Amino acid sequence: MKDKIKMILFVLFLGAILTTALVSVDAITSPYIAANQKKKLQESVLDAAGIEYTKENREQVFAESIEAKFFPENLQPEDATEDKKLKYYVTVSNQVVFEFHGNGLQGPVHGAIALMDDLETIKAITIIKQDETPGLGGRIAEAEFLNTFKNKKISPELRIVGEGKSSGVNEVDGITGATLSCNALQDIINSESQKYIPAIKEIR
Amino acid sequence: MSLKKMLGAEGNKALKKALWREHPVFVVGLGICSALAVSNKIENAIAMGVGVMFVMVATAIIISSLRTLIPQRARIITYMIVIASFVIIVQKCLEAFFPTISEALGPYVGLIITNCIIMGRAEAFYITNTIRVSVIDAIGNGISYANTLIAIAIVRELLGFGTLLGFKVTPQAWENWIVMSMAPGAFFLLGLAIWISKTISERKTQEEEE
Repeated sequence: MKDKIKMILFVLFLGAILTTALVSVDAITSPYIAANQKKKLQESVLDAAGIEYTKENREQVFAESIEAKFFPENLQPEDATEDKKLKYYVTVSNQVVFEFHGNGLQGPVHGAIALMDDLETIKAITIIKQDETPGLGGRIAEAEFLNTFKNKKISPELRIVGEGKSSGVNEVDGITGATLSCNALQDIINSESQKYIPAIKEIR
Repeated sequence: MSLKKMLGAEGNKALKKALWREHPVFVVGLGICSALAVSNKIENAIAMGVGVMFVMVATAIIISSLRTLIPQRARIITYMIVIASFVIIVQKCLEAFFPTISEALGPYVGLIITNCIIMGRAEAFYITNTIRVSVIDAIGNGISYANTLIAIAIVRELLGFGTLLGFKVTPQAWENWIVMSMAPGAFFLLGLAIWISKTISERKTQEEEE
C-alpha cells in the first residue's frame, strides 16, 4: 500500500514539475511564434501580389500598399472575435489576395492566392503552412511548382493533372509522387475560391 | 589521449559501445522507423539528429539523477512524460526561433517521442548508471543515430532529388530516382548499410579471437 501511494505521489509530482516547465516554455515562445506567423502571412501576401520589400521595411510596405477588408458576416466563423475575423487583401493595383485553408493529405494546408483584377486569373499562389510528407507531398510548397499556377484561370475551376499532361488555361501540371496532395490542394483552392470570390465581387 | 582521460574508463566503454559495438540502429535495430522517414534530405537528417540528441541528453540527465527515487513500477511512465515534455520543448523552440527548420521537419519533430532509442537507453542504461556516464552514452547514441541518418540521406538526396543540401549537383539530363525519395528506397539502403556493418564487425571479432 505504501509503495503504491509513493508511486502515485512521485508520478503526480514529476507531472506537476514538467507541466510547469511546459507552460513556461509555451509562455516564452508563443509571442515569437505569433510574430513568425504574422510575418509569414505578410510575406505571403506581398509575394503573391508581387510587391517588392526588404526585411526591414516589410511592415511599412505592407501597411502602405495593402488594404485589408473583412468578408461579409455570413462567411465569418460563428465565434470569431474582431482580430480573428476572416479578411482579404486588396493591393494598390486592385489585385486581390485571400487566404485558403483546408485539409491536405496529412494535415491542414494554409496558403494565400493572389488574383488579377478580373478576379479569375491567378497571379500567384503561396503556401504558408503544410504538413505533407517531406520530399513527396511536401513538394506542393516548392516555388517551381507554385510558379506554374501563374496566369491560369480559376473559373469555372482549376484542375491539377498528371505531370506533363496539362493543356489549356484551367490545367496545371501535378507532381509525380505527390498526386494525392495535389488533388487535395486542387479541391481546397476550388472550394475556397468558389466560397470567397462571389463575396469579393459583391463587395466591389 | 586527453579525451580518454576526460571520459574515464566507464565513459570510454559506454562511448565505444554506443558508437560501434552496440550501434543503436545497425546492431540493436532501434529507431528504424524515423531513420526511414527523415533520411530523405540531408538538412532534415541533421535537424532530426540534433533534436534526438538534445532530447536524449536531457532525458539521460533527468532519469539518471532521479534513478534512486523512481519507483520500480512507475519507470516506463516516468520515461514517457520526461521524453514527451522535452520533445514539446524542442518543437516550441524550433517554431519560435528556427521557423524554416520547423517547417521542413513538419510532423517529424513530434516523432522523436516514439523514437525507441531514447526509451530503450533510458530503460537499459540511464536508470542504473551515474549522470556522467549516462550523458556520455546519450551523446554517443545521438551521434550514432545522426550519422546513420546523414549517411543514408546523402545517398537518397543525391539519387532521389539530384541535390546535396539543396544544391543541384547532377547534370541537366539526370533523371531522379523517385524510389529513393520514398520509404522503400530508405529500406534498401538501410538494409545494405546493416549488411556492410555486420560483415565488418564479424570480421573484426574473428580477428580478435584468432
